[in-house]
Amino acid sequence: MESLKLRAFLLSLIILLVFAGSWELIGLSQVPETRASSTPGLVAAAGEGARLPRPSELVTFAFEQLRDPFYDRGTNDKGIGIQLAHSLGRVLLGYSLALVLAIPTGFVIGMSPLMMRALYPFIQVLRPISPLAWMPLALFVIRDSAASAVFVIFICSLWPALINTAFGVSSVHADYLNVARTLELSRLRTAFTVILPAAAPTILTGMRISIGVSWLVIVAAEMLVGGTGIGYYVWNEWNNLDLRAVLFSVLVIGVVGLLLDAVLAKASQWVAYES
Amino acid sequence: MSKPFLYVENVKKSFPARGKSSELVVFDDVSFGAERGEFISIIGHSGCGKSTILSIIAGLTGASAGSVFVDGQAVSAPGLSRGMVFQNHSLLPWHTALGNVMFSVRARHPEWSKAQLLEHSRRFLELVGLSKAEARRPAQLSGGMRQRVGIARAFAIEPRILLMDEPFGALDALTRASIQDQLVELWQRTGQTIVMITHDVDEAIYLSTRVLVMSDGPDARIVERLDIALPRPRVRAELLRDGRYHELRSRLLELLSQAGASNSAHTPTSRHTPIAAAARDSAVKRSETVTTTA
Repeated sequence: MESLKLRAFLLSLIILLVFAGSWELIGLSQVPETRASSTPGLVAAAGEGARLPRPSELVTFAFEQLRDPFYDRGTNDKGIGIQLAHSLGRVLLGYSLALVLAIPTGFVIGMSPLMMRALYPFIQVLRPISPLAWMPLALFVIRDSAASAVFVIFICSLWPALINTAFGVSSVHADYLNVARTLELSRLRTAFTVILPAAAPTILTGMRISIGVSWLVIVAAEMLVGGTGIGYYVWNEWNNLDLRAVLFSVLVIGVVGLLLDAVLAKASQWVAYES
Repeated sequence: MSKPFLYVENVKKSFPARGKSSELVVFDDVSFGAERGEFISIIGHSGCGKSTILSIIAGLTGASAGSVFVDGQAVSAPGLSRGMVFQNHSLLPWHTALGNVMFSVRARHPEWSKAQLLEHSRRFLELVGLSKAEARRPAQLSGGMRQRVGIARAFAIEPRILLMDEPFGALDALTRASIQDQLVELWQRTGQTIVMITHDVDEAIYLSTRVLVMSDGPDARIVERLDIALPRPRVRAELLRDGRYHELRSRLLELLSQAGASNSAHTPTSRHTPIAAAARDSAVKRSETVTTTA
């Protein structure tokens, strides 16, 4: 459906241009903020700079940053590339640990109604806890801020993958299991060659949701913990009142989130099947 | 007297009494045997439990009473000795047609090399005429093709008994006719022992060496056993002109329409024609009256 793709692309482009264009025009016509506001100190101190940057300024800033993304001029002045690398590193670590626990556990829960019932209350209580709520506990027990951040990613992104795996495994069609039984497949072989491929699409969906959660969490965690990382960068630039940097990094966060999701969407396609 | 190759003895399926309701007996006293290479059809209305009988032979369900013997050994769990063609193909959707057959063959011959698995699987796919479609996944195959893959898969493991649960129920008449012919050819080529469930009387007569008729449930019984002494190859057009075919057909339809009326009473057969040799209540088909023609 090439025409649909093309038309959708053009429409997206138009929406972007209209939005950016309006923003630019509003920005050009705007008078710097002088009236009293809820953060008078901030406004007074900033003066001219305390307004939202225009798209054109943002683009200029983006080019500067992206031209040399890995610069390092000291503790609080590193390139966007380095910050992203730190964040991604933590995400990958926390996410992988989460998967290592979530998928086998989900499998066991899915195959055993007893375990499902027994663990259900624990899962349901732990799942809604916000990463920000986990932070103090993690910092107290683990002490190391980087490790705490990884732990918080782990504990928050565990649940979607776990629940989806359990669900996928428990809803494998009885027909496939009967095929395995008539072929005298061992429990292990049945698990790997029948249950796993059957549940794979659901498991991948869980993994996809989990990576989204991971990326969400790292930004929040880094804002609290500080040091390096894109979340820290956003907060730091806010403290510097460099709104261009703030906006730019927010966009970068969004784009990276999109890319992470796209990777898992592709992986989902590999295991998909029509029944 | 030695037991037949497949021997189902006094099998009963019931659900226990719960609360106010009394025990629900699906069927009782079901006994029959099949010799090697026979093609048995079981016909009956829906709900009489014929699929359950098959399921019990396959070991997927347990019997409430009675036993099943294959080649002298009692069987109660599922196994490779009883291959199954399911009512809805039950192909694994993440494998191709060839992959599905190979999956089963590998379970049967775990020591075989990839080349052997390929060659063996391809051979059976060719026998059902699906060589060209081997790389397609079930979702890309028509209903008839899926059933053919299911048949190829079951034959490929060369089980002692092949069980087929209304395999052609979901197909249109033309496709069904063509697959039936392929099935007969496969059966004759391999000498496989087959037990098939169907509610299509014509299909039962066309394919089988013997037809068992079940009464309606609950408390269903086998009410008739008919030998199909029609010579092979059976050609549909010629059968329509064969008086014996019509007699058999009438007899079976008559039984099916009566089936609900008499569960415990034995259905009397006033006819003693050479074709319909009904064994009434005997547990085992006497070997001298089995007239299998191939």
